[in-house]
Amino acid sequence: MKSPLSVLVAILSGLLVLAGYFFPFPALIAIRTPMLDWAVTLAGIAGLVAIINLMIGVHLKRLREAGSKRFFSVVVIITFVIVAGFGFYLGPADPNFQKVVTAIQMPIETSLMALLAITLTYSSLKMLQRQRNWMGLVFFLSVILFLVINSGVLAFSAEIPVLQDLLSGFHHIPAAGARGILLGIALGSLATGVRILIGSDKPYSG
Amino acid sequence: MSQYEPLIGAVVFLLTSGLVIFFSSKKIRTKFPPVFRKLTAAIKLRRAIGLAVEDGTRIHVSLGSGSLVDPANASALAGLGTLNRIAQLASTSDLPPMCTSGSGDLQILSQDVLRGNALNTHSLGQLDPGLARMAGVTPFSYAIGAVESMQDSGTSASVLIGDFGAEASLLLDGAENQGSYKLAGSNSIIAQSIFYAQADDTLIGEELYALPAYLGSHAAHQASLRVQDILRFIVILILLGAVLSKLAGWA
Amino acid sequence: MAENICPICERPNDPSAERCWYCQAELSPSEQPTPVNGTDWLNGLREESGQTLEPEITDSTIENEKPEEVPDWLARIRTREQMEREAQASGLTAQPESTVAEKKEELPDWLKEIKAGYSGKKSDSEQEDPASESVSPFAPSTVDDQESKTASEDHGDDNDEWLSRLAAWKPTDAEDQSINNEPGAVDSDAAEPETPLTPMETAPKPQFDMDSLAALNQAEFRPFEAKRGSGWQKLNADELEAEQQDDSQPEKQLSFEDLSAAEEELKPANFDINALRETIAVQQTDPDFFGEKTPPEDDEQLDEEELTDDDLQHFNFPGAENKASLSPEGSIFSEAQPEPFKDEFDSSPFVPDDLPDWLATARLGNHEKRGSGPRSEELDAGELAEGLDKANMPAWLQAVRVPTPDADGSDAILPGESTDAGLLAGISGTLQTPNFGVDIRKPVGYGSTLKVSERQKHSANLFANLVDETFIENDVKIPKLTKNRHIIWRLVLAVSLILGILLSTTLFAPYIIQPALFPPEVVSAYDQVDALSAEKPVLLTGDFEAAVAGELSWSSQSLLEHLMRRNINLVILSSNSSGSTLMTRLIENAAINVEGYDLSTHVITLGYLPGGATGVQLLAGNPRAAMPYTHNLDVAWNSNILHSVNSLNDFGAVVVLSDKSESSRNWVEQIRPGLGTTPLIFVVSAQAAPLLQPYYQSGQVSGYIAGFYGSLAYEQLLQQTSGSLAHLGAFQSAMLLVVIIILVGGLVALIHPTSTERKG
Repeated sequence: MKSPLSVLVAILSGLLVLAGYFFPFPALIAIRTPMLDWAVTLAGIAGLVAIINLMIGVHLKRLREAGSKRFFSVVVIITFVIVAGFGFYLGPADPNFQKVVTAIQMPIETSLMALLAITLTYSSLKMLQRQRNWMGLVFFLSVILFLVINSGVLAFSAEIPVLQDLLSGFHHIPAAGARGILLGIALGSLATGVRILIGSDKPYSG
Repeated sequence: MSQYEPLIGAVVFLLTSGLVIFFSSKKIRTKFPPVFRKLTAAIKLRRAIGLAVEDGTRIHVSLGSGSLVDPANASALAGLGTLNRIAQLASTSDLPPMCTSGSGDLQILSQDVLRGNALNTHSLGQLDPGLARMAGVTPFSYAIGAVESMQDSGTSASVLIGDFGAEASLLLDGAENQGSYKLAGSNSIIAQSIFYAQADDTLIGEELYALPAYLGSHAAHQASLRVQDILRFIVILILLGAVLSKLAGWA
Repeated sequence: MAENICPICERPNDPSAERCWYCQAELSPSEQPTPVNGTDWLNGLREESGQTLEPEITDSTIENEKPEEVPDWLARIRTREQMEREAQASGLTAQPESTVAEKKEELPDWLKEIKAGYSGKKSDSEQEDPASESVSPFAPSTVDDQESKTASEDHGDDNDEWLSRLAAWKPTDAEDQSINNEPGAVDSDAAEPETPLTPMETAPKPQFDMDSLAALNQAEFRPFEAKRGSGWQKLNADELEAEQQDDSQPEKQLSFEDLSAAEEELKPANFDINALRETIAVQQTDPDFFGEKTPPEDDEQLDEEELTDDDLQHFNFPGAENKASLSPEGSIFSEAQPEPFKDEFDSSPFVPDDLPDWLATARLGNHEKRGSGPRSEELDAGELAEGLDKANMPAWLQAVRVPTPDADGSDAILPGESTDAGLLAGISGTLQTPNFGVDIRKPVGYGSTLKVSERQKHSANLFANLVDETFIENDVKIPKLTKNRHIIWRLVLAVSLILGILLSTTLFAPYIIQPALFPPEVVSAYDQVDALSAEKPVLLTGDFEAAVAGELSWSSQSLLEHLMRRNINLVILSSNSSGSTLMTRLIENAAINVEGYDLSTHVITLGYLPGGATGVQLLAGNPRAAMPYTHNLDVAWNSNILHSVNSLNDFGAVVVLSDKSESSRNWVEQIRPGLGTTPLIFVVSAQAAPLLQPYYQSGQVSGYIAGFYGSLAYEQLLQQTSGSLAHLGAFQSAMLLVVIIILVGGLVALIHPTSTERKG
């Protein structure tokens, strides 16, 4: 059973911040600014809590269970402890500590990004098996078209006005479609926010 | 910022709030029952939940790497609502649903949702807090962590609702290897294009926010859908009016 | 008066009664059924009493006229007792022993035992409490009446002495003592030794006054008689009439203290009802009461098993003969005169109607001398079974009775030995539970294995076959071949892309197509940067992940070099936790190509801006409050670079490096209103370009550089050679290769669709 106090706090907090945005009175700004600071701080603390939960609640727990993933959990925990220790000791501005990001994290994530090319290509191959309809066919053709356009092989189109206009039009179509989708998403976000502000939707307990 | 923008924003907010409350009333719902178009994704999701309950398998819900302090938190909130509803529907399953997210605040909220459902079903002692976890702090590390969580957990259905980027492709590829049903929806255009190519069912645009209503959560969800339709028509009328006025030379 | 014998239960009833008092069967006045087993020892008494009834009646009448109001049955008992005593005193033994013997044999075992035991009790009881009183041992018992069916033919010979005692109801004076002191004199059997009773077994002295008892009985039993109207205590009609004359007299509740000494009209008997009661009670509580006695000296020990069998409610007259032979040594009737006096019987104090059948047909059997060994060994179950006649239950009881296995036979089969196993192992005289064939004390062990019948197995096999067929049809598992196919396809794709990239510099180099036009947004960005004032710093914000750092390093390289060549101070911050490090790396890489640009004096790093869009909003409102320190925790806004900056519009330009359209939109929405005329420039990934274009077209974004071609165009505008041009061939080759693969694969999938099975 959700406590009415938590609902009241959530509603009041949201309404105060919203009122401070719509009506920039000094009093409202004086309330809104600290509340935003608290929200940012809480988000950071929540991130720290989540990391600790990941280390202890997942990987440390996995050490007690039998399985092949115990080794990787050991690596994760040891790495976390070492990097956190160096970070607290050296500081994030230390060039040597920054090499953890530049020499380890960036290559790994860049490699994962490269995997996307293969994954997306393979998915595009089999897309027509899954989406055997007009929308799927249009999507498939759009993928081909824009890959060709963005590859730059149609640079000669600059000399052909019709083709140039056509390609310019093609550039605007995704933007238009995206704009319509974004409008719908915005309306949905608005309705979701309103539901929380009026207390109809409570994704929290207490 | 224009001086009228705050006023317009306040009017829009008040109008939306009033309409949601109005359509949430039982009298209006009874007198003017909502009629929504058929959403195939919601139907298939219900079926997948039923199959998961029968098979005794798990449903994996991904909330993305967005944070509550971002404007994209609305999709995360929709994902939390979907998680709540899935947890209710799958409460009789042998394996409770699992939730992964890419931010700490979403991890705490998802854990709270699962805990609330466990309280309602009197199975708090059997709840594993590790079922709601932050798989990674960066989008790609989150995607890899979520794929790893799906493996060996008996997942039969993967639901991706939230703020995703290009890393969603890795998530869906991992779910494909599991042979599980994939339903995805995001506020990101990039993610939606990837979802359309890889997922079994994709929620385009505001269908993401309509999913909780189709799963039968609360009357407020259905009311907000109706309000969204009304506001959409208002926006369409405004756009058409602006176009016409531009063409007519009035603006 | 002849009693009305019930045809069902064969109990005597009042002749005037319409229904049997015991079993409520209808009685016909004319019916005079004879007992089934005409061995009821009490019948003999009845016959005798019948002969002497008239004089007894006369006596009883006389008694009734007396103020004491002694009931007839009591009077009869007294008379008989008196006669027995006289017989004993005279030493007459020429009694028709046969009759006596028959009657003795008809006596139930418990009775014999009591008699035998009484002989021992008698001596103690008289000395201790001569004033003790006793009441009738034959308290009305419906169970007795119901179950006293037939008596065994051969009862013990103690009938006479027992009856004498019963008739007297109290031992008095020296006569009692003399009689009691005669060892074995009261024992109708062959002078069996009497075992002295334990203190518990000591019977109270039967010292009571018959008259007083009669008076007491008037108070006690008259209501009983009024209720029951039948039974062995029932008075005959004449007696009733006589008693009714006394109804007017108030009933006096007498106690035992009120009882006076016995009248001379009744010979004192050696019978002690209290002893009998105690004996019965002890026997019920302690089955070994009679069994564990010390070996008597020439006394007969009680047959504990006989006593247990009797239970005082289940008299087995067929076994009475055997039991009679083992009459209890401590029987209170041990001193009873075993002499079968016909005259005594004729003048039996008991009216036949008053006595129950079992009592009427009981015969005093000969007491057999008991051995010193355990009594259980002496008994023979066969003999018991042969001697005991089964009691006949009334028809109505038999009809409602639930048949139990071995219940009927269990009573007759009573092993004489003690049990060798079980809780009562080694204890003699215990009741043997009937053997139902199942050890009821042990729970039934079902075992841990599942017991499945053949039918169940068959049904389970059918169900398993049905389920297997269903699973086969809807197999959701991806077969191994399909998984391997996926891996192979991915490997092929990876290898082909890598080969295309590697070969692009050599094989595909002649086919590279350079862009002809510059994108307007890139040109605008170039113009904005070229127009920046060198006095104002430029804010560089990084909002991208490490994954796209490679792409953005190409896109931002030219722009950063352009800024450095203008000798513009740079302020770096990141809304990503790892962005500040990545931004520092980008600056360092760009500075390598620009000579004379000192990073320590021209670049200040503010660090990480938390909160996402909320942090950006805070930065837009008050940058000094949002980022007060540098990443080295130094005060940032006192430096030479930032001392003149109070808000975002004090910067020369704001350049945002982003990989997502959403984050770019956030920056536009949050900081654009506060920038004023300060240009807002974006360096974005190719995926964010379409969504940023409207903002550029609306004027909110001054310019942006998107993707590979954007960076290439900016390089060309800058007229510098960087990495973008060198990698153009690889970029185009990979793009075209992907196009070909997707096109071919899609067409193949369109022509040959493959069903993809997945859950849901």
